[in-house]
Amino acid sequence: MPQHRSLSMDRLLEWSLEHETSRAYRLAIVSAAVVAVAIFRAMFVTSLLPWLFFIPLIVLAGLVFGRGAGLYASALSTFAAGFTIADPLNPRWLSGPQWAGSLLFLVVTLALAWLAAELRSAFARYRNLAIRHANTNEELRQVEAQQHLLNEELSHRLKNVLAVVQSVVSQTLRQSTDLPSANTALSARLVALGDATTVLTANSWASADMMTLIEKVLGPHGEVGGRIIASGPSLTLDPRGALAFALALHELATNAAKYGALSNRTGRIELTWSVEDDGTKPHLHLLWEEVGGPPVVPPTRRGFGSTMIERSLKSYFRGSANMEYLPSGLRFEIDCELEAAGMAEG
Amino acid sequence: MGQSKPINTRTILIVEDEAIIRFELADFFCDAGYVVFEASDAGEAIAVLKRESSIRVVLTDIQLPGSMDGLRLAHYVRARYPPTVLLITSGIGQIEAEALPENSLFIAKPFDPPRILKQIDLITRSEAS
Repeated sequence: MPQHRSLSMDRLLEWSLEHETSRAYRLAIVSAAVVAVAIFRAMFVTSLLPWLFFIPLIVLAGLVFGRGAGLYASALSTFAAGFTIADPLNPRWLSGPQWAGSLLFLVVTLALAWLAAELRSAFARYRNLAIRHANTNEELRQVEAQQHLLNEELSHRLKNVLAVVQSVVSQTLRQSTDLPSANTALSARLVALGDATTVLTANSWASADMMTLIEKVLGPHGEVGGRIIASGPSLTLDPRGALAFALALHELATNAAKYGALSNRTGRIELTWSVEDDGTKPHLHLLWEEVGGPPVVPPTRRGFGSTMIERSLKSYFRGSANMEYLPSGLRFEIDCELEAAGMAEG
Repeated sequence: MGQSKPINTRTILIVEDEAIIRFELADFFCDAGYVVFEASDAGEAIAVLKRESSIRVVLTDIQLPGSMDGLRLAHYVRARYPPTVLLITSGIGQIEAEALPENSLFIAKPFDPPRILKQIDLITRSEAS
């Protein structure tokens, strides 16, 4: 039974904590209850026990309505009990022992009311703690689930990147005439892939900022803003396109350093892109233009670089990718729907 | 490359949206004596299959852009072209066997192309005998 009683007490306290009532309402209820107990006592119980029946009421008031109501119940009960046993013929209303009893009752029940109110606030604190605990547990559970998902996603991406690396390695070896040159080319290509990965990871692998990617990949080849001028609107590339684009930029820059605009002291590279919206679908137009380099001779054999650039960008961006060996300098152009490459920012 | 393998020419369709991977696979199978067709999504793959009746082997990635993924494409191929050798690949660790069409092989990425070649040989030989 005590278990059951404490449970219903819990429920009563919980109910009172959930249902905020106004002060006037609480005091009215307490007043009515005190008057009812006083009438009941006066009608049915001997006046030898004037105070006893108020005690549960005072404790209950403190528990359910808090300290103010408890203290008020205590004071009002003392008055009501005194009133019911007062002798109208006595000018001091009560006898000496009755006065002493009233005072004692007041002191004891004030303490009781205070204790009950403390119990109430302890229960409220415990309840808040339990709620917070439950919330924390729920958050923890969600974070764990997310962590699991993230881990799977990471593993998936990692394997995909490894497969890309595997392809780049095979292609490099396939196209190289000797091992030392394969070694050099491969190292540089993996660095370019690594740079793209860095830019992608900074944005949770959701997209890569165009300018950041350009600066990161072309940085080792020459100062971006110096001999390499990059300009265009704010843009982000999709992850898959970003890897291929980084590799393409790297190949273009390597080629420029060997034979093109970066192979002498005066040449420069202009990398510009723009988004054109003709009302239907916005188009991305990107241009790599080399100027001031030595006269260009088209290569006799198309290696990994040019093949990789044209084929892969055509496929990733689902548009056209053209490389032209103009005498004045190499010119590489991409034209595709913006949607296929990434999205404009701002 | 001095490969003496292909006695009869075989035809493969490679369905992979990651172009860099697709090109390498295409080059590899080309070197191994295959006639190679490429597709970057299920729609393209179906169009190629309708056009090229000689395709005997289909290698597809599970993650493909568009409404039809590689698994659904594989089931489609199994139903439409029953004798096709089906190879299904993905970066996702493992696929439950029930999800795969009959007589198909799951290969986790990254994979070793020469081993795939051997496995295709095994499958075709066991079918021939």
